[in-house]
Amino acid sequence: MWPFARGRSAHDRGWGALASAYVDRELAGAEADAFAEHLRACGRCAALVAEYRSLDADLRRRLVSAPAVAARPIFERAERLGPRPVPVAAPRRLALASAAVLLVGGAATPPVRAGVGGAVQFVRSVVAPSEGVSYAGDRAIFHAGSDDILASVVREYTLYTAPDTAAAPAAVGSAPFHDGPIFALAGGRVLFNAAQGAGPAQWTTVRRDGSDPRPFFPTSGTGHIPDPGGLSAVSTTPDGSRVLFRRGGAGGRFLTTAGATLVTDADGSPIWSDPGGADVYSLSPDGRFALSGQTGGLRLIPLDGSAAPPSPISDCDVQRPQISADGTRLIFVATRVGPDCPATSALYFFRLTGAVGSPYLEPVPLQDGAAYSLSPDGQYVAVQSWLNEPAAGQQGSGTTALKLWNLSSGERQEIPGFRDVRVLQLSWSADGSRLLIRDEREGRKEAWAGDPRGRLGQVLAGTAIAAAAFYPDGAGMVVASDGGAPAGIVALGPAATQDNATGLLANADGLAPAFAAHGDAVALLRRGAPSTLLARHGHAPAGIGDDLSGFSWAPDGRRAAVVVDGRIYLWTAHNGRAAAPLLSGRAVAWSPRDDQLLVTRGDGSIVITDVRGQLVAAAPAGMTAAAWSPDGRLVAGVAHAGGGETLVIWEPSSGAIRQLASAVRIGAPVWSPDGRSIAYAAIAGAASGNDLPGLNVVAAAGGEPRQLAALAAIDDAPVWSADSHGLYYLQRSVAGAPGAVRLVNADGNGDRRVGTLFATALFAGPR
Amino acid sequence: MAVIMARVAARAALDERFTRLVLDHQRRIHRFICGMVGAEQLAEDLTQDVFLSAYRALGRLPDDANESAWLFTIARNRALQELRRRKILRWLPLARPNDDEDDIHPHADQPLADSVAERDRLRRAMDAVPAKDLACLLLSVDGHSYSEVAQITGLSLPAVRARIFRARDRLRALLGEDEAKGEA
Repeated sequence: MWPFARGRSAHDRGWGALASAYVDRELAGAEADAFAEHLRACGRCAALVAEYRSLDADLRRRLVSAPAVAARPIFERAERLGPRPVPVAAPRRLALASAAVLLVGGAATPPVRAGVGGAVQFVRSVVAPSEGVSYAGDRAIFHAGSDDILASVVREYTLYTAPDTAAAPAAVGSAPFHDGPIFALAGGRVLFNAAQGAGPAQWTTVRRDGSDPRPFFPTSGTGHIPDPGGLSAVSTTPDGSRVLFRRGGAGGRFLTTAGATLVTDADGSPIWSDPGGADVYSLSPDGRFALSGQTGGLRLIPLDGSAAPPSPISDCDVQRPQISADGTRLIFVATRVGPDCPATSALYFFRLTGAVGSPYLEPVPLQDGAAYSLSPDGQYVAVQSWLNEPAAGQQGSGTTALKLWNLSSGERQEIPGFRDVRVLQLSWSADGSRLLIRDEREGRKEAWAGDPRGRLGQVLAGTAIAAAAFYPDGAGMVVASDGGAPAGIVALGPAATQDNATGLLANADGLAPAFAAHGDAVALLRRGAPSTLLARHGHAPAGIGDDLSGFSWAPDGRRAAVVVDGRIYLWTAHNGRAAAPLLSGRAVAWSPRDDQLLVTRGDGSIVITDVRGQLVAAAPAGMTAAAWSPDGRLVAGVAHAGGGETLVIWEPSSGAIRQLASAVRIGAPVWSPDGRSIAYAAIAGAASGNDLPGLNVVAAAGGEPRQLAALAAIDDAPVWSADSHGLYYLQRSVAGAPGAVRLVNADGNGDRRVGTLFATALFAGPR
Repeated sequence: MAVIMARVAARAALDERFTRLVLDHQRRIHRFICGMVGAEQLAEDLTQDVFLSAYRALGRLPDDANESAWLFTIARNRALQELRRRKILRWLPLARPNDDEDDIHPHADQPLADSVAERDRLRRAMDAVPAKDLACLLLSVDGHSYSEVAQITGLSLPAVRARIFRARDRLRALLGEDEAKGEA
């Protein structure tokens, strides 16, 4: 029952404000004395005060009932934004001298995108079935043994040189392409990140005919520096004479210093470097300036060491700036930071001649991270925006489109054929006559080149394109392509028979297999697209459904819990039907005991329900990354407290919680098949002098954790071998890049590489 | 070299400061936004937005600034912006079987139906209070002094007091009317 009296009177209005402040203990002095005296005599005010207090209590209860919100998504989004600039106060005389450009902008998007992906040999999953598993696909039937089996999605990329849209490319380069972009340099060489066997990838150059591979950073010689590792090449000048490298936080983790910048010439000789404060995104076409976008505005940093600006431009963020060859036209992304900055992301164009102080044209709204590129002559911008652009300050939605923005007229003309595709790269030829577009649609990486105002042709049609660049002299382009070879799931034999590869399913790029624990079925899942079930013995593949965001087999492999549009359904394999939704949630794991589901709710809380969706137990608040023990009696998870994270084991039947290990950050726990140990990635933290993630193992019964190996990323979950004696993990130089699959004994000994394939993630399979 | 080392150290300090900000304030910020917009999932998204805005601007925040007030300022502005943009002042979540909290987190001390109905009444009333007034009241209920609320909102102390009273008075009236309808 609500206790509030109905109706208001002049008395209430007159004394109500004082009663309200009295409840908040905000009356003082004579006012407080007067109201206290009145209150003693006035029953109505006493009731009013009581009502306000009751109302406050209800409000407070409602606020407190709001579910806990996880810190991790905040840090992850912050990481994706890239490092923030550290304000460096410029001497006053320099700041005044640098006031050549005055801009009003806003906050922005990540200044540097991740590499474009692609690998020599590309592995997406590792499975370890314990019994015969067969797959029905177009190409292959696979019988696994009783030992560990690695199944992988494989695609190989090599370098090709070609006219823009050649149908018959010529392969070049003996060094295998690893990942990231390609650049054509002055002097006729090509720069790319080359795989080095088991070692970290290395920036390498070759001639256009593929001969004479050399490390880009020589190991000796006057003025040269060794490859510092972890560098991403971000851009070059149009003539290929200068290269801009960035180094992000190691492994993309937070709590690290990051953002170092290096500019070299075409021979790898360093010209300019910055340890992390500049946040440089691009170079001016003449190579004289580095363009730094950051909170506080744009800066043009002279690379010759002269004492000209840094130039603070505005109170808003300016990100991803690009400038025309003649230095008169500038574009950048800005979004809101302060009240005077734009409320939504938009691409702004400024002319840098004459009086500068406001955008020259209406800005183009765009999504965070959307691709854009200013032509070297400054006449056009290729930009991915919305087909129907929202009004100024409004959020965009709906279909995206690639557009050509004429900076003279302000008109924006759609480039046909790129609606709702993911544009990965936009690059102009040095003379501004042709545009290179690399995109991903329906899981395929493609490239197109030509006159954006006229005809575009597909580059190496029918192949997957991992990277591409125009030659600066207009002689064509260099492309990292798979040459049309199909991607597919293959199986490697156990560690004892490395490289015993068997083809499983062709054209499986982008699919993630989910194996039934003791069954004979595998679901091939592609998020946001129809997913497929494959059953053994040649059964025709069956569709599971659209837009699956979660999937977990029942132990018998006959049913599965699936997540569609934030709701959890039980799906039956033999008829492909799903019952009415059980409850809302964003992730689900079926208990190994078959009778319960571990559900992550929309608010991040974790509960256990029975298979009818009825609540059985609620996990402690703040627990994340929960995983069933193999016997289904316990749940391991990560708890957040006191500025760090703790690996915990929760016993749902009793509610008991045990702490196993603590660190600054802890990745998802992985139970050993025998249930005796838990593996996890963790960052020990600055206090221990170690801010790199490591692969750790701790006994489920408790004890001292052991670090077995170094990892590139906290999200690199290991996979146990079937006998619980070893752990597979990825060894890679940069988070997200393909890496070598390695196997280490659970006691830390016997660390060795498994096979020659590279992997991007490991997934557990049937046991 | 000294300048470079100073920059590196400053970067590390910024990251650590942001980490502490998130861990210390995310719960209260989320609660406040939840109270403002009502929808929990939306509130979670907005909370992330608030901290991302803070992350972007943290480098310009003086070391001795009132970080809590600064964060709540961002949170209030973000919530008000969202309310204006989405026009959700009148929006009410439907209580459905198997939906969100209702199916598995009933209050222990009262029937589920009563709990849901009571929650909806309060939410409906909160949605009818002018958003800027509601923000002041929620900040006060969350433990901020009037001077802190004034700092967060940019209002004068008398204006804060007036808005908090208006919000309370409005809520009281709305809930009273609701009760009257229920009894009629």
